[in-house]
Amino acid sequence: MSKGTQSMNLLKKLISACLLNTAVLFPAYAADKDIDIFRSDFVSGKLSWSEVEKRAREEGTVNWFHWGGSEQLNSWIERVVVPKMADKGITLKTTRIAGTRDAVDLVLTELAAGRELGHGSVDAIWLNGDNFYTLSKQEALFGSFADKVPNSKYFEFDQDNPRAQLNLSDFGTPTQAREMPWSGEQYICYLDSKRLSRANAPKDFVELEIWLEKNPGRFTYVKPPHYIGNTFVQTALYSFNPSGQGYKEFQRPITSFTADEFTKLVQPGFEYLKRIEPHLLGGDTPFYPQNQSVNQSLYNNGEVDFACEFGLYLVHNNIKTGTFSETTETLAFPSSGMIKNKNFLAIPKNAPHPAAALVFTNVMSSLELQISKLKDIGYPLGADIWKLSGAEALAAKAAEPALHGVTADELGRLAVSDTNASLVKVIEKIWVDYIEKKSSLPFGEIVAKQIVSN
Amino acid sequence: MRSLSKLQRVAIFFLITGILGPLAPLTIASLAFRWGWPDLLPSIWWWEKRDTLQVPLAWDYIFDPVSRVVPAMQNTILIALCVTLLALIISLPAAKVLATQNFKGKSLFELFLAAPLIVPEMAVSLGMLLVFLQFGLQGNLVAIIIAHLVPVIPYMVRVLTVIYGELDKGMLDQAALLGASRYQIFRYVEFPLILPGILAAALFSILISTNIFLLTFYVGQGQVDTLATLLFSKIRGGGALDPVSAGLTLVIILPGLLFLAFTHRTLKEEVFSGGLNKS
Repeated sequence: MSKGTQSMNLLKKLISACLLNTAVLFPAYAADKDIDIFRSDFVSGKLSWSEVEKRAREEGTVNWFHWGGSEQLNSWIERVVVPKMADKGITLKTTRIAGTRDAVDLVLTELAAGRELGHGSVDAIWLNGDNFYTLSKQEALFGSFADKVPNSKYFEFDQDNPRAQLNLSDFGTPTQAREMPWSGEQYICYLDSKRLSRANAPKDFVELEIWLEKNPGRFTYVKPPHYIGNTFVQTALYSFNPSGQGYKEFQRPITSFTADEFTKLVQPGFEYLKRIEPHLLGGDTPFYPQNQSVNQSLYNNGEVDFACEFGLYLVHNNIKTGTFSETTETLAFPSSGMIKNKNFLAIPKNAPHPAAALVFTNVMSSLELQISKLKDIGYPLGADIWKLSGAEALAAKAAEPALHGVTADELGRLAVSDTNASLVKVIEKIWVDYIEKKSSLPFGEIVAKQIVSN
Repeated sequence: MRSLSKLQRVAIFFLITGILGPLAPLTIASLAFRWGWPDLLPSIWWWEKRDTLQVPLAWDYIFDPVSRVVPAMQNTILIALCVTLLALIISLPAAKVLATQNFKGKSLFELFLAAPLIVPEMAVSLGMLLVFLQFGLQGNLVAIIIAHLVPVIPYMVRVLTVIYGELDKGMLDQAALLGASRYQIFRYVEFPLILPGILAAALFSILISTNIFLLTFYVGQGQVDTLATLLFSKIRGGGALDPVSAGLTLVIILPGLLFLAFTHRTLKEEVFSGGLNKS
């Protein structure tokens, strides 16, 4: 598998190298002057919103690429979002994708072929983390818009407010308002109270180890480099951070660490993961599920007693659709900190309908749609509750689905930030080397190697 | 019809369970609301819950316009038919030459034909999009049809080369001796003889075309839904077989089955009753 991933990465590098070389051969589809002026005028705040809406009506269409694996989400979009966009004179065309990476690759390929603003095919992408990092690094984003659309009033963009962190930083990559917060998530675990009572369930990583020794094979986590697996590993690293500062050091970019410092930071966590491995599902040949749906199958098939992934209202949503048993509950694990983040709507640099894309992000961040999304499909608010008026906040509270066994306060207290994207890459590679490949090198050398190769 | 021996019966039993076996859990899964361990059958069926929820479940979703299954099915069939027709026009002469003539660099040419099958799909897809963008040919059905020809033609040429290899050239000569025109020879002798091969190659082509995901997505810029893109957006990366995935999987089998049912009669009449055997 890791070999597969490696060769895949190599392949991607090769492809992008080829793309860059051939780009010069293509006729340029450079941005028209008029559309370029629109972009710079909007980003610099010169345009009124009614001018944007007028232009959006002329463009008439917006192409949104989103993960399309959920019938609830797809139905909600057709039922609620499409009519709202039609009111604005815009046809919303959605493309349902399995991996957000596909949309990112499409944008980058088009850019490599010289298709600039107005000449691409993607107007908006639902994404976060790695994919935003890639677009940002390749300078493939439209620009700072999120703090300029009218509904930005529901979001904290004030640099000096520490609560703005979730909007200003996406896995450590500064968002610079180049993506609009749309939804929030928190890493949670779920258990079946019929098989494992809440009282007997572990509450932190130390208890997990003891629990696993008594119940060998009854737990596993998604395999890194899948982001669900990465997040579990990060949570463990936070918990065993020798400085006792938990997530704090993990906000810094990799370039601010020496190999030695980083080794010290992550070694206890990785040693813990190594220690529990023989007690995970599969024992001597540990089984790490490929993604969260495989993990859910293991849970539903009774092979593990609890499992973890992102999803504040996952239990509610999955009981509703029959995926989980009625006795499934949310577990607040680990008490050392549960990673919380947001996901966003980004506009690529070569959006074919940039004004319509701006109107789209504004519609999506309206309080009406934010609350409808929370109520109908259990996707947490992207808006910040303290930016709402008293009545608005009450309406949002009333729309919250059941949490099944935990309270919002408890989850809020345990919330911590996710890891800087540049660290995520290194951490996942260390996991592959140290845990999966069982590298015989001393731990410090594994870390040094991965930092250098990064 | 004489009765089957015991061995034949066992063989047929395994053949049928091998083909139909996997479809059984798929069908059950597509009708389930809740199907978890340790239940052998779903504990709650879809129809017990379908009225209690505001979102369409399982087959209700698949038949709901929101699932886009109907336009995707139309696109899939249209693409598959066009691809098959074009691929046949291109592959028939090529296969005939490969089967009957020897020329310099023939084996190299055959290797070249197989190249698209060896290069990873990701590279082919992104590379092709890059070329198509240059011609402004992307994001529509025509682009997808042309793109599908690339993985289809190698298979088709292979199948047809074998068929032409087995064709008795004497029969064509006989017809020529009896004064048949080139068109008549093709229409009344050559074509009926290779028809089973053509249908087999066409079936291959349809099955391949209906299952191509990456190429369809990139060259179509995600603007054209096909059954493959719908299914892949549900199940790529493996994982739980929820009712909608199970239902979509059953639906995606349809184009191939339809073609089989359609050609079954033709094959029977032309091959088995025509009395044209290779002797």
